[in-house]
Amino acid sequence: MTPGGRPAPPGGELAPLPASPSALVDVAEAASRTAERLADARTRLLRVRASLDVQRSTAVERASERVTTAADDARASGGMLEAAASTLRRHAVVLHDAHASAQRAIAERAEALGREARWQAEADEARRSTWNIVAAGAPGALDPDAGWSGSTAPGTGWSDGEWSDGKWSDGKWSDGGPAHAHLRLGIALRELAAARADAAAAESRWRAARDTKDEASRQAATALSALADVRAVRAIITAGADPARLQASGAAARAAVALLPRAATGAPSARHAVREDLRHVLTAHADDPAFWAVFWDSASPARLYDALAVRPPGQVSPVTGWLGDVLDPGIDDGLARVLGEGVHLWAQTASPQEQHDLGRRIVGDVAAGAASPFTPPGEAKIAAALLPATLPAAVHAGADEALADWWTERSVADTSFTFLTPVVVAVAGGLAAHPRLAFDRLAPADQHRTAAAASRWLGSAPHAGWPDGGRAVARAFGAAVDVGSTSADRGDQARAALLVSHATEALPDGLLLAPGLADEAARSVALAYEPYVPAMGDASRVQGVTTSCTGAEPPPDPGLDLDAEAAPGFDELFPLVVQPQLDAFALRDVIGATSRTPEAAAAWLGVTDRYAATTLEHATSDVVDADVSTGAPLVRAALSDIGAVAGGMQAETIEAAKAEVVTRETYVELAGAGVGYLKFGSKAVTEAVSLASGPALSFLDPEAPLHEARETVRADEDALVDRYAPVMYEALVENERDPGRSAGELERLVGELDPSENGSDPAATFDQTFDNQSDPEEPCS
Amino acid sequence: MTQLDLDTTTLATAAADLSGATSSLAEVSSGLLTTAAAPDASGDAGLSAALQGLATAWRAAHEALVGELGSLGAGLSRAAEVFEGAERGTAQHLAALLGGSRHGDHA
Repeated sequence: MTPGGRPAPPGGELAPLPASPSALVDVAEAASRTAERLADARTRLLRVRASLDVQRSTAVERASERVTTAADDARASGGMLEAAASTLRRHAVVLHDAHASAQRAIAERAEALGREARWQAEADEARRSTWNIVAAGAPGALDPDAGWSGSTAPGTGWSDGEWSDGKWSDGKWSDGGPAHAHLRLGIALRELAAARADAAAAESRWRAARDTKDEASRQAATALSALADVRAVRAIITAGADPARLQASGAAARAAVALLPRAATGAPSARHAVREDLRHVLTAHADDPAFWAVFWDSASPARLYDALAVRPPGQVSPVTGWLGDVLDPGIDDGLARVLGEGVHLWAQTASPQEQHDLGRRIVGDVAAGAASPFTPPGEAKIAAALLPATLPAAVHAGADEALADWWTERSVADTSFTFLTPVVVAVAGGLAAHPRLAFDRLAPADQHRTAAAASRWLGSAPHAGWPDGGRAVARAFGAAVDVGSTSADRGDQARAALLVSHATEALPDGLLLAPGLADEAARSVALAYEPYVPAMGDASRVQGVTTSCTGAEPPPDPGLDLDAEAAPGFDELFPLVVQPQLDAFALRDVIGATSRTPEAAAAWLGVTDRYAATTLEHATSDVVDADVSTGAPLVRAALSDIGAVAGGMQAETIEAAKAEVVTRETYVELAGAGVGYLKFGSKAVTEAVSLASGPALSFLDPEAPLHEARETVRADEDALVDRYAPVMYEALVENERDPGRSAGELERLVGELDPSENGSDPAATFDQTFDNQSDPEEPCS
Repeated sequence: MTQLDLDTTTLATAAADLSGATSSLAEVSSGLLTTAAAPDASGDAGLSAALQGLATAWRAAHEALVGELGSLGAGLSRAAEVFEGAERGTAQHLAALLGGSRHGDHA
């Protein structure tokens, strides 16, 4: 019992609150000091990375990446400790105040209980006195239970503590009659009530302090739990945001993950409602790095596909194209952007290995069901949305590895290629955005794998064509070739050349065969061949000699033009590039298929223009020793090369007249691929030629916009000879003209290139490869 | 062809720097938050559990970081030694190849 006779409170109740604010402050200080040490460590790591960045070695580059990751980890851990310290300090302040309030309440309650005990005793005593007087028959007895309600009592005169029949002092009556006894009792009861009220108020204040502490502890616990998610901390710190956001973001992400299985099962209407909730949560946190950090730590791509994709009722086979869009829209553009941005935010705090793994899972999870007729087509779109080109290269590297696995394991008869088309396009976009990755994947260091890579990426296409017109795949090819061909490393150049060799065989049956090839894709392919024009004339000449019907000659060997390289100083001024082995027949198909429209053909014309200009620069430069020879051989070789390209551009025009083309036209029309696929070739080129206003010399004018030249296509053989031969001849003559050189000597040096002569050398040189490529004799085999 | 352009002194300095950072971090207590997780300190079971979870996460992060830095420092140090030795060996080999029959030349 308490002093006032009240029952004792339950255990812990009205006792000092547990917890030690000072202990928490000590831990917070230690955490801050550790965070400072982590910051120092990070500074050292960044210094180490800076020193490693100037080193050149693959192994050291890898070490540098690891140092970067460790520096990020140090920053994240330091941020986590700082945030924890801040939370603990805040909590300690609240705890301290709550402790003080509770302590005060306990003391006040004790004091009130003491008063209660005293006044209880006084009341008991007064009551006894009153009843004694009443029992003795004294008049004017008061009902003690009526209590004291005013400043005076009936029949009494109270004034400043004085009483007419007695005196109140020191908490008790010094004298009294019946009225006095009643008054004494009333005062005792009043004070007793006040003491009890004070005790109750103190208990209430104690409970308020306890509740404040409990709520503060709950909030601190939630905040500290969020900090335990190291990735979320990294995300929020990388974004420069307040770690306090972690709590709400983490909770929302966990709620979203919890929705995934519910959105994938149950009645359609319930699933629809959950899907809408999920969409709402994902969209609301589109730009919240902590949300995505927690989300992708717990969610798997497969779960997301199950939750968001809808299988059309009764579907028994893959439904793609517009019908598939109607039956299963998968996700709209808005949600697609949200998902892509989410992975992007996640990737900012993920290690390269983690990025690689997620890329692999995004593709692996969707490829696992690609061959099943029951897999909703929307899954591939969702997977594609998770792979925007802006993601780090490591994500796309993992994604392409998973694609390669699927490609190897798939059955040729299954329809998984059609199903996965959006994913393949997304990965191709990623490769195109990361040229070095494109190079490593399409032209791998292990050159035994190049043929397979070229076949997969360039020798295959969905039956209905690429939804983007082949742009992404063509850009990836162009990016890969560009990396290798512009590298100073001959090994890299050889890898790119090998890719082009295989691509030349693969493209006509894959990317270039698919309906709906976009001009932009054709242009990317054409530009990829630009470094290799010097090999085209040779290929055409060697393989074009089939009149003896002894069988096709093999293509010339790949490598460098050693004759050109032999000129001292030549390679420094005009870097040579390792050339591919080009099959002239396949090359003709590539050039023909990529010059079907004026816009596409203009790319090839740009290639030959630049090649002619560069050749002329070579031929008239100081590195060609005019006393020994002139630039004439270079010009002659260039005309041969340009003839091969120009002939290739005409190939389909000639073929259009043949029965084979009729068959292909019929096929195209039957396939519903639209009009003009093959009609365009001859018509576009003819129109362009008729519009051409004389020989275009734009390649000699550095100021002339290249687009002007690209808008016209010179399909006519004579017109194309006129485009290049006279200008190159005149430039050579001008270069070789010397006061000490006679006209006869000049004629001997360059006269053979005079295009004005009938049957001149330049025309013959050009014509040979042009004819070979535009209307070749097929090998008799 | 593999391309290397390495400064062994820089590698060794980087390794030493990493070693310093590793030692500094290794001195930090990985049980830092455990004190606060004690019931007497936190005064709340939920808060104790959260602090314990955070202490576990910090311990894992701390150990991983110290381990990674140690491994990196040792790797760089070893790389500096290997490259230094290889460079010396190559120089001696080249001297032997190009310097005729004379022995004992050190490039």
